[in-house]
Amino acid sequence: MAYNFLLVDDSATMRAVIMRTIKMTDLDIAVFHEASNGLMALELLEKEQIDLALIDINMPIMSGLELIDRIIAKQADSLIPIIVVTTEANPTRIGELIEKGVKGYVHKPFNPNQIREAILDALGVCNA
Amino acid sequence: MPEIQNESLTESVCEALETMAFMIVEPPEEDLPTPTEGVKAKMDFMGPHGGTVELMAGFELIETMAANFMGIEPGDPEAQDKRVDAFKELLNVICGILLPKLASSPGDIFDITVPQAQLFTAPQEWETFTKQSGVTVMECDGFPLAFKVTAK
Repeated sequence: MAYNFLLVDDSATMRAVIMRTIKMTDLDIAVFHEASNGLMALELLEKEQIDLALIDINMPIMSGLELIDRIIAKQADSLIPIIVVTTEANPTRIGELIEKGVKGYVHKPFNPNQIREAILDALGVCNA
Repeated sequence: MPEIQNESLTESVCEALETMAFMIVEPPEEDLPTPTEGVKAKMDFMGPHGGTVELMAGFELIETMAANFMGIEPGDPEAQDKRVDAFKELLNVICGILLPKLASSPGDIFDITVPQAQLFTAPQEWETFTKQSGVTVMECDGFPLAFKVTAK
């Protein structure tokens, strides 16, 4: 199966780093969709089939927290796997996100293995 | 408090650059070249303590950092293209490391603004910033890096 990824981060550098990290796995990649804020991400989610979303929290226009709430509201029954990649370290805030259905959390700064493992976990893939 | 904040900021800068870009930050051992052009980035934080973190460096250092961060060669055009963005993301990561250190308890919640960057094009701007009280100048890859945390 080839996966469609959605990378949501206002930093183009961070999106490039995450993209390179995913390419280092053996996962079959169909498309990387990129958004620099939550609003752009919502538009892409309306138009495209997305298998996994990696979402930053601190973004202009629409934050990752608001984006995740909107995705959950729209996809109550079939939520896509979401991994939060953020500098946020507060355990209460992270716990709330996990309770809402977020599949994974990676704290910035990260090493490539942390992103890789979070993606494989979220997709339920082994040995990629 | 300001001394503790500066110490915490120095630790956070070192950790962020080492983890993101595999670069070591050390106290300068000799006079470093004054950057003639580069970037000054800043972001605010609000919560149990409020304040501003500022970070300033010349393009030589920023491009090397951006290249290391993305795993590409320093001369790669992508490193130049994304240098300002990479510097802002570095500041974002530094704040993410710093704020838990400033918290009074593990439950403290901070909100942060999106990093803002401003280009500087004259060495005087570097000198004006680094002469301010509370500014720390460190060495990274043979170039200076200046930073400051201001409590509000």
